[in-house]
Amino acid sequence: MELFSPSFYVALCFVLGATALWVNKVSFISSCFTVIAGSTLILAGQFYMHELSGLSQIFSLMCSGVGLLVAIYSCSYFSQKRAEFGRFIFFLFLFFGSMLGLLYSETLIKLFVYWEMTSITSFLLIGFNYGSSKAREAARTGLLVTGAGGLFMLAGFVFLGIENGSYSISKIQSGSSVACALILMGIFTKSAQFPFQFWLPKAMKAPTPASAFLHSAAMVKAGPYLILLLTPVFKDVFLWGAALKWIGLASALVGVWMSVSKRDLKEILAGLTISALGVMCILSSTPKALILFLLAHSLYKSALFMGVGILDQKFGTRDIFKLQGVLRNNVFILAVFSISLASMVGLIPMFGFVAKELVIKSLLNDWILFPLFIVFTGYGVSAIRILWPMLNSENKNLKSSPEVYFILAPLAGCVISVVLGILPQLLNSIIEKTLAELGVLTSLDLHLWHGVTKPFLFSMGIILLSFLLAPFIALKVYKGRVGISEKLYEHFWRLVRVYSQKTVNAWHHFGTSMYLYIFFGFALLIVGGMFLTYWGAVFLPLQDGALFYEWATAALVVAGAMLALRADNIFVGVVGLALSGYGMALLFILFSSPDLALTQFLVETMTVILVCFIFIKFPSNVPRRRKKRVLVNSVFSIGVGVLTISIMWKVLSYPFSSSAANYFLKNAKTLGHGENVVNVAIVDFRAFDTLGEAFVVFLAGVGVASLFKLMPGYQPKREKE
Amino acid sequence: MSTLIIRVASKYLVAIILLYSLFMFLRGHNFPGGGFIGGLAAAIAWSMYGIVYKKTGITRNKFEASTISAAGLLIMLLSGIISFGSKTIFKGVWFDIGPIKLGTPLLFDAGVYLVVFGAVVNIVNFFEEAFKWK
Repeated sequence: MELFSPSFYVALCFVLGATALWVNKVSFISSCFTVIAGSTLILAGQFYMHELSGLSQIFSLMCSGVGLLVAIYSCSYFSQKRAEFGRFIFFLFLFFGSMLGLLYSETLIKLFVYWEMTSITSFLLIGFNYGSSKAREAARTGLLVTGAGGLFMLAGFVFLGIENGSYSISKIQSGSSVACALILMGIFTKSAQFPFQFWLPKAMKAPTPASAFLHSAAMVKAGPYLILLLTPVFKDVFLWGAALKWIGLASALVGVWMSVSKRDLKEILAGLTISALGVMCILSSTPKALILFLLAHSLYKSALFMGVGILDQKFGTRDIFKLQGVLRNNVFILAVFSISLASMVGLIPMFGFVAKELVIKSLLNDWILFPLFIVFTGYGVSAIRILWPMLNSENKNLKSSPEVYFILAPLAGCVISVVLGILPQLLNSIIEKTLAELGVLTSLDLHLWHGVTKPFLFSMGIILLSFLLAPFIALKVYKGRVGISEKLYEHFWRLVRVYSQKTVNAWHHFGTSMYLYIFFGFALLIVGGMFLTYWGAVFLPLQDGALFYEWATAALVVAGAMLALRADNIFVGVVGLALSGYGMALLFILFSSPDLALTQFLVETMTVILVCFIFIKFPSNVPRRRKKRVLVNSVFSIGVGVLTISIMWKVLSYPFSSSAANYFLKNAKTLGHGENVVNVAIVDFRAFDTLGEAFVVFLAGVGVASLFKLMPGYQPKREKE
Repeated sequence: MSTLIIRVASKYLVAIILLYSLFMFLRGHNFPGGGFIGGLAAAIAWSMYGIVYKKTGITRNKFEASTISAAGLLIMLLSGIISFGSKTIFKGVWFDIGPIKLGTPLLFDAGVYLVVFGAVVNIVNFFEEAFKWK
């Protein structure tokens, strides 16, 4: 791995998370230090990643920038609950790493893997407070929705890969409508677009730093990233633009409605996030506006979330009506809220203003501007709805100011919002580079003030209208209702649960012998059926002349088996089985595989010991079985025996490819330095396979132990005195 | 199952089988044998001891048998990682010590030995303990 290559940063994130988890057991402060230093390094590294495409770089800068802020913020957020910090920061950095990996991916498959990793790690983050059933439910919803969408997307990627003959993103030129539809499923679920929007408000059960990261800069932004990445690919597909436009519009409106109708601050913000993501989908045709809008959104939204987290931490509630007058007491929180809300609404001189100007300018001749007018007005109303109750009256009860370090990160986010608002020129070069890669050739001329133009008048109209509408809409308390898509989702999963339980019950309540019947029955039916249909009944002729001692050994095997069958006493049966097994081992020796024979001998011995353990407690006389049962059993066992033998026999009549065997034989002495080819193959040539097999052995040991632990009467090992 | 004869004999037998298992393990590279076989033989010796003396094999205070098994896995993994210097994994690395060639495959085989030994002893331990439950 090259130092400071993209994969280095992904690995760094994972290692950093694990280190912080470990260090936190010793000292919380050192853990914080590790995390902050590490994420600063990651952020600094993003400036030097010139091998990346401009798009990846913008996103990775945004992601690691907000990541640094969130890391600083979580240190203060968890200063009261230090014990939990390690686990949280571990999950957070796993998530951070997978997000960076997603942005760095140069092939579709890699992108998919990281995409699913963000789903899984966000599951861990949302369900962080696993003691609460609501958090668990929310985590499950998020995972199921985004994971299911991810599977659709994988199918879409496979289509794209087949159509273009390559999975490398740079080589993908065009795509069909099918691929487009499947990939859109992935984007819409991940970015919480209508009708999958319901997982996002639920995901607010996560600790606030996680929400700030997931829902402003990371998780949900994977959707717009993919939109930007694939818009050139799908430029000829009607579905791409149309679906993005309509679904985006629907989500923008639904999100605004959600934000206006909720009381919980985090849910209001979640609604606004859904809405903003909808706007980003609409903007897919104008990447320039999309990128700016997205950057502005991640800045103000993360600052807002962090501000809400402070209020939650200090006053134990997120209800806007219970937080009456809270902002009057603390100028810093007031600054955070007012600056970031101003950026959201698009007031001068915030970064949000620049972005919104550009959005309006690029959509000036489009009908969609009018629905967007409503959406943006909704933002204004929501902002007033958030600010007004918290400002309007004096409240003595909520007089507690947060520590300075607590306010640092959100304030930094606000400062960046203002700086980028006044000097948007800073972004010129990198965005121009990106646009050139995306095939949009425009010179970008970002300025704060463009004069009194149409977009400016439009903005003013929005702000005016929101102030006019606010008194009628903003201060009402609405009844929370469950949306139709959420109901459908719940109903669907209830059905899944019920039917899977039924399926399990149908297969799972028999005794052991029934399992064997089912298993062998299917084997006979399917394998036997295949055998008869495809392979016919032509076998290799038997080789003549088995020697007399070979016959004798075979007879020993059969005799042992017969003894086991006929035995009245269970121990005699065990001895019969062992006899049969030792006979097999003898056969192995006769056909020159001593290693196998040795193993067989030992395994037989071990089996006898274990079986003795089991049956020592049972009555040793076996009751005679009923005739009918014997008949059924013999049909099954003879059938399976015949099937196995015929398969083995048939396999022998096909030519073997002996290249591996020849290689082993030739090189065992020279490369493996051993005479015993079997052993050399096991421990040297095929060592990786052996590791897997050893793992299976290990699991078997652990598995048996855990079965025992489930038995009634198990006493856990006593602690040492 | 604990007559005097077996009790006396097993003391010697356990030692002999354990020695035999080591022998099997070490000769494995050139003759029939190896880690798997050695580990199984050792496990058999141990379970015999357990049966005869009604003790659960390895003293449960110091090492869990499953820990030994896991340690074996770790050793296997480590021996595979040693060759990472030449940018591959699980490739034998060899050293000459006089006329003897020692290599990571030996370490790997030792890991197999421990995994098998630990897993089987773990199972047998639980079987033996199950008798003591009411």
